[in-house]
Amino acid sequence: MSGLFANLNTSATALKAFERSLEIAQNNVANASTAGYAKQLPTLDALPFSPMTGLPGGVRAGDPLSTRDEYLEQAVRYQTSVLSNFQTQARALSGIEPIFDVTGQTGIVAALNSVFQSFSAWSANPDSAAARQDVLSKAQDVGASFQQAAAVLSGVTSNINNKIDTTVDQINSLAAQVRDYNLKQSQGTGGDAGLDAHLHDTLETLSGLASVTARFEDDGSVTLLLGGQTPLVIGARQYALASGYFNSSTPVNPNAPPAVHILDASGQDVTDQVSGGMLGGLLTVRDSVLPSLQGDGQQAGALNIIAKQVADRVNQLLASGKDPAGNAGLPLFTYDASSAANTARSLAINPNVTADTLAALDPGPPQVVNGIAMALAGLGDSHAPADTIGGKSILEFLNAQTQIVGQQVADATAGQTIAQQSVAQAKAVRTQVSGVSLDEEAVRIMELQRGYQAISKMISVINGLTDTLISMVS
Amino acid sequence: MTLKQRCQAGEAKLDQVSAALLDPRPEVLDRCEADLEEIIAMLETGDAESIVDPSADKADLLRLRNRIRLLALQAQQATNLCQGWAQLGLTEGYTDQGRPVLAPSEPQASYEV
Repeated sequence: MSGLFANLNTSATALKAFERSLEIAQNNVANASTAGYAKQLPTLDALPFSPMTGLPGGVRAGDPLSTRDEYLEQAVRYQTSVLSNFQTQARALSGIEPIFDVTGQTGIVAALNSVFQSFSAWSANPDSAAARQDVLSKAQDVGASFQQAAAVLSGVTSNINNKIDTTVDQINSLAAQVRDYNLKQSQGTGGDAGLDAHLHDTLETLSGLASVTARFEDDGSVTLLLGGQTPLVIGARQYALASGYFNSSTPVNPNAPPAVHILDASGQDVTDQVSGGMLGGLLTVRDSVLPSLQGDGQQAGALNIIAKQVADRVNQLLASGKDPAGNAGLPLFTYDASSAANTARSLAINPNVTADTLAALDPGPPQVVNGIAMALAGLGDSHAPADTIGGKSILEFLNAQTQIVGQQVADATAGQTIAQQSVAQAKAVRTQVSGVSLDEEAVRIMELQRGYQAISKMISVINGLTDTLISMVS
Repeated sequence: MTLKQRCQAGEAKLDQVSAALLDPRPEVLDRCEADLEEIIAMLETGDAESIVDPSADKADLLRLRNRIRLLALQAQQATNLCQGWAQLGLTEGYTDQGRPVLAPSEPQASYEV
């Protein structure tokens, strides 16, 4: 009889095991389109079989095995973080690029070229009322173009500030979801495939916002670190981030926009640890690119440096000349001198200056009737020490800034292209290796690695050939 | 075939390879190798007579080189991804210093001559 009961028991266990397998398969089908879901595999454990001691053998359902591979998950998250960083930078920089129009048709470049041309036309006809009036009109355009550029940069700054605040809130909200997951794990209600899917989906979204490391602990909880150092979630505790706007040291330039800082839960500055994701991209543009152009508490910024140099040199030259009535020339430009970071936004034409008070005559000796007008016409390209900025003529310096911004946009766009491919690739590899046995996975991944290596070698041959051809045509 | 035409054909092939690399299957990678061989053959046959307008040709070649470098980064990234996975798959993770930890195995008898 014991044999019959043993047989019945074995059959019942086996049926339960297969029922569990069916449940898992059903769960896989139901979650096929759930974001972050990784297929679960049913496992069957062999039961001890020993007729002598009455152990009937058979199978029972083991714990379901997730096909999720944390390495590949991490790879996808890392690439997502890089992609989001470049995307954010490219988007933010595209708002700045038109200020420095590389074609020279619009913006500051066009306005400066026009005013130098008007000086040149005036030098050819120093007594011409039309030429003098044109100088005033073009100088007004220069002031307006600098003010407009400063307003655009200020608008981009406010927009980025808002985005930084929103992104920090989003990070805190997602970290709270990870903390809730940990709570469920500690209460023994975790281990559910749907919960696991939600966690991985949350981690992927988080990696798009910042460089976040997820460490899976032995107790099933997830430790979340910002930049691999600052804790966001440990077990059931969350450490919220905050954004702050202040200067680290006493500002030299009052009224300049303060830097943005990311603070941890204890108020420590952890900005340096934010390197990837949307937040990293926003911080790069906000704390590095924008201050280099519009200035901050410590630096004047390229836009203000150019505005100041143009205004000061034009005013100095005019002041050294004489107008048709024999009076000393009036300054053409005015600006707020109280802050070096405020020059561009306050640059305007002197309200007291008229076409008649423009001083074209250089009293010398020797006296030259159009001496000042000629010096102004050549100011843009002049390499005289007083006219240059860091050894470059005004137009060269402006051109260099245009190139820097253009290069930053090009780098961000190229980085975005590469990161897009890398994310797609990491996701494709994840799909390729998920759901097969570990041995098969290893064989497949090594086969792919060999294939990619061979392709890399061929690409380097093509690169060498292209270099040879470039030297042939150079 | 002028150098310009070669550059254009090469660039088109590189775009194909770049898209194909996103489909990681051995047979697809084999096809990529064949495409790259075609590009090599095309560029190897470049001689002085195929140069029509040196400055325009140089611009085309620089663009081609830029495209090649992007593809090189893509292939390198894929290789690194697989290498990292294989290392992790065959070991028990990494030490704090980033070195792979070998999976412990039972001592086994060996026969030496």
